[in-house]
Amino acid sequence: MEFEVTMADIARLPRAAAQNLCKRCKLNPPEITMRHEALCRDCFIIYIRTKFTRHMEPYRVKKHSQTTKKLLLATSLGVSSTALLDILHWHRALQVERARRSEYDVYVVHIDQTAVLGGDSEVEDQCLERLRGKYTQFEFCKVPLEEIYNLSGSLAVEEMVASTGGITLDSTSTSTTSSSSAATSTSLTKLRSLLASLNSRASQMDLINILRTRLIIEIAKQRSCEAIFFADSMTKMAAMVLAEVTKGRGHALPWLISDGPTPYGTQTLVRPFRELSKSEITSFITFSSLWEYTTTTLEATKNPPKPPLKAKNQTIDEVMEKFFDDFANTHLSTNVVKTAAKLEFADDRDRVFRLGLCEICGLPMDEDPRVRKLKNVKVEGEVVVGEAGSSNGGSGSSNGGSGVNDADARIYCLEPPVGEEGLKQRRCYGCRRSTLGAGRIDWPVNNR
Amino acid sequence: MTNNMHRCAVCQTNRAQVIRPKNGQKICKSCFLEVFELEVHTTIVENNIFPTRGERVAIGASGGKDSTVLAATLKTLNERYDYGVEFVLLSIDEGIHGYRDDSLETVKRNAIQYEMELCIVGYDSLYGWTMDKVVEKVGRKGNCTYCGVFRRQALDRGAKQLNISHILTGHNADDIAETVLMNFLRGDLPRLGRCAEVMTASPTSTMRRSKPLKYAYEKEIVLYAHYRELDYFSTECVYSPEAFRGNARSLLKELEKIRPSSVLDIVRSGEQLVHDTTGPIRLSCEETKDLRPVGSGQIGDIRPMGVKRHSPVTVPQTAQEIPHQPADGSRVQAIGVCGKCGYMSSQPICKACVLVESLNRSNAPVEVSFAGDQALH
Repeated sequence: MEFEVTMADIARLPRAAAQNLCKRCKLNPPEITMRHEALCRDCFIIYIRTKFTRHMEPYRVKKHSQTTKKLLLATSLGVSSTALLDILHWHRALQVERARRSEYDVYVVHIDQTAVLGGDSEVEDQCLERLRGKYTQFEFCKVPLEEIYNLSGSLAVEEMVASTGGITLDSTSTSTTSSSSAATSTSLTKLRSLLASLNSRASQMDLINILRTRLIIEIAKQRSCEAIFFADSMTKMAAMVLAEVTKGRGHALPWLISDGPTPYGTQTLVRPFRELSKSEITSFITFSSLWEYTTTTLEATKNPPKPPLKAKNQTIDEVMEKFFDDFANTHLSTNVVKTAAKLEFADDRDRVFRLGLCEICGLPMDEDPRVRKLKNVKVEGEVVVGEAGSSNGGSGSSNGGSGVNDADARIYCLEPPVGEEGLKQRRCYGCRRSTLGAGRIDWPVNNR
Repeated sequence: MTNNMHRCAVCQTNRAQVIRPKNGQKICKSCFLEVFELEVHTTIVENNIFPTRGERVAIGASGGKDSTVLAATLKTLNERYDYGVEFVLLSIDEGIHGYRDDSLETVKRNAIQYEMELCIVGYDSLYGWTMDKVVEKVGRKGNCTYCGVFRRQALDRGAKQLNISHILTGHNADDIAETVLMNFLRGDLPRLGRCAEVMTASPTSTMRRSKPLKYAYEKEIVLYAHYRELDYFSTECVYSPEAFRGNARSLLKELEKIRPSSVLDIVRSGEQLVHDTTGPIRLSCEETKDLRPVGSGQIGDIRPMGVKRHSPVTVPQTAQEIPHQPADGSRVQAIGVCGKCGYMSSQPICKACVLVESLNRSNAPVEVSFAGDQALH
């Protein structure tokens, strides 16, 4: 009996001591429990930085590299964006300190959506000013969302490479030559009328998100940035995955969430926070005292304000984010992101070649899931319609069209609008759903 | 003006009574019934669900709304479009008092109403356990696992008794959308790849399973049953509903409020995942899944299974079932035979046998030390 007691005592002793100290450095008192480990402030910050640094392999200082790489950091001025900005600043400063030069320069871009989404543009400007003052190594820039109507137009004039299937604007030449304020107002009008033609707030936000991403990529092209950094956390990405599945873009998931180039540009997308949860990033902001450099507050993050809208007016992304913010579901985000990352499209190159890209989201087109199976089954018309998808561009094979054999129309109730029968060949399912009933739309970007 | 607003969008004559959740179209009762049936017919024709005339096909019938609507629609469509198939109702008696015994009465009435043969297979006779007894043993938490595994096998066994190799189930679009979300949430990649297929030929089963109501909204199924005044049983299972599914279900309901087509859109997304998992070039993750046990140190684990896999001689009747793989031949999960019951299984012993065994095992010690237990508590 005595022996047993002694063993238990021995076993208990170091554990009791460790409980008061950080599990890693064993020096400081722990301040946060992270993945079952009690860590002190410093060790936690090291942990976050390590997760980030893993994605920075291509941007390490290399001996013989001549040119400085240009990176674009997209910021929403939210918690994750500021955390990424801070860490990137630290990373670059470390390079300068150790190697006396840095491998990259960072161009921080904030897309101003206040003209269409509401919100206070002034608050954002002030926040940007504070960031400018703090992170002196970086160049900052604010671009209004409607600028996409000017930017891609001027770009298209400069370096247009035989575009297929995209909508080319008639007014591009006028908008580039006219004064900038006039251009802004006309482009804002265009953007607003595009959004007004959509049938729900969910669809509007979907297209705004697509436009924002595409604007960021266009800016990166213009500024010849080779990589674009997004501060999406794992929690955010899980919401993104399920939201895109819900919008019917399951076919494009690998393109939507994986790092690497986009189908319509050479710029690499990097999401260095893809392994960190939102709560971890929030803690990082608290520990680094960065709250004043974001447009949100700790309170707002802890108790996200209920959307003042009717349930019907929420967006799909909002519902998904709310779902993963729920304490009972946060742990599921790992599963979702990891599963989605495993989805692979073996025939993707072939698919892009055969079916082309969607004129709206720029991602590879989807194939009617029945087409392949149907190759053995004779159903008049249907197979022909599906295979005609290889001819990308407004040929709009009108055999059948919205006719009886169009399964999209019959089963998915997704009839193409009158006069746009070839839409199925140019626009993916998800984008057709989001633009349902919008008629002919004035889309500012094309796939080059 | 108001007159126009209430006209059916299809026939333009009758008063609109239904708003279709898929597209918000307002249509009248008779057009609704027609559109609903036409959609099921489209699903059947486009997926070639009934490839051969004269085939006997089982309808998994629970007496609930989905399977009752399935049976009623198929009877109508078979007469209208002459598929030339014969339907048999196949019911599973889980042995849940106050739920299944009542719903089976409904199925018996359905069998008479639709002039279909009826076969009832009981858990009791197959496994020696009714769900009531299982719940008594394992409690209300997790009993759905038992029921699910047992039911899958029971349906196959029932169909085999009837000498049928094709089972139709009443899964609707909502069910499939929930499953897609659920498989994402629990990270089940292989299932994610096949849960949205209309027709599945699982490697662990010789049965073809089809879901002709795959594109039908739950709401529309209820409406269809209501308008045709179908005789169905609408009580939930008395044991706890699947908690995890409930989570996905409430999420789906919220999404449906925002965009009613969401259910269908998720099904569509799910189909796209299927397309790529079972395409001619296999997913790399599936390959690694197969290779992993060989490469890593778990060889001891895998060997006995490999031996089993290559000795189908033990159960001669299943020998000819092994080559029965999906027509596209893409899935590479190893099929073997359960060492206990001889049923098809990817593991040395099938899941149902494992569960029954665990039930029986946990049964024994309790019975032995029954007196002692009582003394303790």
